Amino acid sequence: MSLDLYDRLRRLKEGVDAANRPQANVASASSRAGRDLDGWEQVAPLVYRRVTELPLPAGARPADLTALPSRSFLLPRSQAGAAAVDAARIGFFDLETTGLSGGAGSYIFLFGLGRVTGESFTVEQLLLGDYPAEPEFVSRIVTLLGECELLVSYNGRAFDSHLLSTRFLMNGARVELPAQLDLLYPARSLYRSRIGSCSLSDVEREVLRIERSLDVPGFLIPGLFFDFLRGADVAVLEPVAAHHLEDIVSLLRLLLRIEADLAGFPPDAAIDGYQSARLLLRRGFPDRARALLESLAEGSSPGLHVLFLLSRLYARAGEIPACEALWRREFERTGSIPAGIELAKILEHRRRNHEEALSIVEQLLDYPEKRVGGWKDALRHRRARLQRRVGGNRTR
Amino acid sequence: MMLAARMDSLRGVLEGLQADPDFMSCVGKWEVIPPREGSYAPLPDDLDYRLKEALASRGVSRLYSHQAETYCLARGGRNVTVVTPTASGKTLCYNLPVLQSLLERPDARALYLFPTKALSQDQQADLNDSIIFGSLPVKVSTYDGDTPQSVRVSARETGQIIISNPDMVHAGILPNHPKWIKFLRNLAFVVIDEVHTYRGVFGSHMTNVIRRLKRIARFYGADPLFICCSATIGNPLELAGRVIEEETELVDRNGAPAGEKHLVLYNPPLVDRVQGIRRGVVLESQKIALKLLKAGVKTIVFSRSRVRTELIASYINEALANVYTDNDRIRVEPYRGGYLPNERRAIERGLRDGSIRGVVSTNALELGIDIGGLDAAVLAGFPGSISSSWQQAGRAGRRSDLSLAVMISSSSPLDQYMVKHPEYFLGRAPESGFLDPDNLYILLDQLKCAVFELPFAADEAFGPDTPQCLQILEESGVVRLSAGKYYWSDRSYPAEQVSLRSATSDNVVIIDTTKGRNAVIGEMDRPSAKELIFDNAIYIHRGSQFVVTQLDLENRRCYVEESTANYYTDAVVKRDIKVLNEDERTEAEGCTAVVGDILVRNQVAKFKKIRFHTHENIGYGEISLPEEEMHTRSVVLLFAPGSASGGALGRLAPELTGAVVARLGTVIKNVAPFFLLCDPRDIGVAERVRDPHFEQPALYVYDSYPGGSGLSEAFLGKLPEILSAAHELVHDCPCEEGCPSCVGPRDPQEELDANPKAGTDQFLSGWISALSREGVHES
Repeated sequence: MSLDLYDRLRRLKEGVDAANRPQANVASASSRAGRDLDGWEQVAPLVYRRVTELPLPAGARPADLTALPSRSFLLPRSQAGAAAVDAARIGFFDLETTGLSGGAGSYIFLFGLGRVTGESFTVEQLLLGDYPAEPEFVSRIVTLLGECELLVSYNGRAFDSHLLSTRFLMNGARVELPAQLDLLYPARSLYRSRIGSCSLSDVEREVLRIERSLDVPGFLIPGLFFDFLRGADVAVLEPVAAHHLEDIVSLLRLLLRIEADLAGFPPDAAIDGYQSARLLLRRGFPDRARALLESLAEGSSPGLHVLFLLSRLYARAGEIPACEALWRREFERTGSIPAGIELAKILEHRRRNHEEALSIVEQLLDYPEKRVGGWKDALRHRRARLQRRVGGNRTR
Repeated sequence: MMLAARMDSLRGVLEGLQADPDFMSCVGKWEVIPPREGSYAPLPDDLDYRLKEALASRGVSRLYSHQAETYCLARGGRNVTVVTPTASGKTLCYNLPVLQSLLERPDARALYLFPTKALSQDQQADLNDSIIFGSLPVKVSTYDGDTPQSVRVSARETGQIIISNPDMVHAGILPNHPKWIKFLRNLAFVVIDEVHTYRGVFGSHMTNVIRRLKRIARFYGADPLFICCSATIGNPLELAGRVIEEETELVDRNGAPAGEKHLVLYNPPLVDRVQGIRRGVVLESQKIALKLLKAGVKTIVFSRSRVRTELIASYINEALANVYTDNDRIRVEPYRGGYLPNERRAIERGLRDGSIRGVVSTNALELGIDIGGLDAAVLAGFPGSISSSWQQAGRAGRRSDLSLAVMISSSSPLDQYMVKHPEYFLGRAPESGFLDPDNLYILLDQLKCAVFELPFAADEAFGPDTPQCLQILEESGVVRLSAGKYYWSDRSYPAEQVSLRSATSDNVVIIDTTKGRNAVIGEMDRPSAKELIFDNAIYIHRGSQFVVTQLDLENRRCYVEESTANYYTDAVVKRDIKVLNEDERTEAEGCTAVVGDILVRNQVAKFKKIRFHTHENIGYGEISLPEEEMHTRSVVLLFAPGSASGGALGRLAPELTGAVVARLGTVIKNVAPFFLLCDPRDIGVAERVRDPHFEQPALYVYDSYPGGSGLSEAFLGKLPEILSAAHELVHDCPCEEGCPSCVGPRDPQEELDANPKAGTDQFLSGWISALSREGVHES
């Protein structure tokens, strides 16, 4: 039965049932001034604030945190490698929103920023009491962000920062966001191969080994805010505020954990050493990347991609003997065709040891058809060239 | 081939036809439209030198009068509606003022809207190919569903001309307008091409999308100028004005020259006088096209269906097949919507550069795409509307050259009527377009999108009765009123749930799996897929023949393999209606009107196998596919005995009852759109002599839009006027037994002795006079 819209319109125009009309989603005049909410401080009409001081995560000492920027792999560094950001001015932030689309009709209703303050981790949460208060709400967010040199988030690059920019624009605030570090990408590099999905809750559970009890499911959150708007007690938002707070604390925990995993030696078997090495290379730590790869290469079955990357690093540094040793060891261990070819290449082009290169290629061509089938053409080509060179050398 | 030689060849063909008594005996009318001189104007003085150079490099040293007129008006800050046929330099009408403004002010921005993604992508390709843009520092970007993410950001940030379509603007751009701030803040021009396609429900949505666009542009401080381009319809100025809700200036005097144009209405000869069977339109159009192609005449054949397009093209290519002469070096290609974009691009290019001499197309090539000039157009069957006929015929004819358009009638009563009454066809004004943007169903859906984009002040207007509409949204829980403003307060993204078109855009992808291949060769919309590419159907794609091994509707895939069958397939479609519920029964205007929900079902259960060339039916096959169902609203008119209508119906000869009720449906379809402000395609009619649910004669009038679009409700409200107009139309129509303007032409298959038009007239007259005798009636 479809609603008869024309009929409804007519009744509304005529003022029929004006008295009985449900008014759930209309803000009453009295509510405009903003009611007092338990556990929140009203800092402006319909803008609420809560500050929570928490101890630092287990095992993290204040001194470690102050020193982190100068030892960090993820945080920005200056040209000379010194810390480029002050630990106290790193903002760990997260948003709760009314929708996931990021379009003009998705509002931020809860904004949280956490910072290391001496011996504690202090999180400030701002709650939007109703939509008309957005300009004031946004201006307070801008003030908070202004105190930060770097923002740390999870998936902020694709979602949260865009939503912030949108809300700024819609409220006439022309603000540039500070530099950002999105932990989703390093988390994927290190942990995806082991745990699969890298949502914050998955990473929290599988990597940080934290189980939240009675956590509110994400898909219920917007609905709870709408209930609050329609007059429900602020207590309905407690689980949301708690969930939000916990997400922010986990950002700090995760940052520390990823740093530790990247610094750890030998590398934890639980992290993806290869992807971590690539991450380190991207961040400008070739020595560390190399050490990681070398320790993987010495392991039981390193995988060709590891060897190729390490070999490339050696070659870039001009360390040919290391290259040769790497591939020789692998070839002796497994007899694999790619290893043999790499070794032959080095022997031919770098060491000018054409005889040994040729003997390796012959060895490979002797492999059973099933194994060498697709490589035959390339190997024969290589053999022909080597034979010419060996022959040439002999006649000289 | 040299111009003179080519023209000689067409004139030669024309003279040959005129001298052929067999051909001439089938001609219903041979009309010659004399050539027209061009009307020119110099290039505008203020034109940037770079633009002048770019035009010169394309051989343009002066403008047609209508291009100059548009330029003046647009530069003078007036909205313009340009009405000129294809091949009259329409794109320069809008490109010139836009480019000039962009060169003067590089910050300015323009939005070009085309009705379909295919058209807008083709325009972009065209713009990129054309020299005029090569040398100009103007960035043109397409922004639609196919645009890759990486390109989207760059398009938003730096694209000066954005080419898009209404669906993308509705669901992609406007809801994310803060990302578009640079573009919207500087929006100076909005070009709406093919504005005549925005009619009915689709047009009503478009008006609302434009309302939203203007609202957001205003928010950022912009007030763009509109340039609309329309084909020749009955009311282009009015329609454009209703779409953009502003006044526009009309430019409709075509300054492009036109050569002598021959228009021939041809009726294939009878092959069986007794049964009245004529030669088929497929074979006849193939013959005529072949004659033209062999004489070197560049020809387009328009056919009414995809299958016929492929058949005609295949037959022509088979007839040309000759290894020794390489088919006489004549290349003929089929063209239709289901081809991949690069295939379509290649065919268009081939037509422009002359390597393709002939093309057989569905009405896909009726609209704007530049395919160079053609010399002859063969219409295989009446296209269904007068304006389409002129558009298709208008594809033939270049600047000052001779051209020919031949319309070949099929055996359908409508086609037969056209060729037998040429004065009707030639004298009739093209159809007008109507729309109703304030249809409450459409308005509310669009209002949701508007609130999502920007909160509404309590006194802001978006169509009529906005405060009450916002209240309805607030009651349904998606909008919140606070401090005098309405805010979007729901987690959903409303634009996602609102489709501008009644057809879903889920296409079925066609995959060639011959010999383990896995290549996408084409696509087709879902409803058509059920009727054309069911299991065991023969699918013809660009002349290659495939058989369908599996149609997987759920996953939108159809698997085909190459085939060499000697037949093609034709599904037998059965349509039927099931009443789901009755909401309201009213005695109105001497009949009973029942408003409720219905299910319209199209079922394909069987298909025919039809031999190529002879077109004999050589067998049948079974199809097991779910029915295509549409749940919608309808109003059913019942003619109960004892009521004014029932009485009038009862006084007719019994054999006429069904025919007259059917004709009433046809008349209503002709008349109601004017009162309901919709397009004829937005409503469906179906008659039942003895309806299974109501057990009496019934006429269904329903919304051809899933879920309903408010038209059947509105129909009930306008029933008195519609009835009176219907009566007038039939009574005053000068035709004898029925024509397309009133009850539809007489159909020999009905096997009636009595005159159905007279019967309808009698029915309506009797009904209406019984009403006035009975006095005042309440709805």
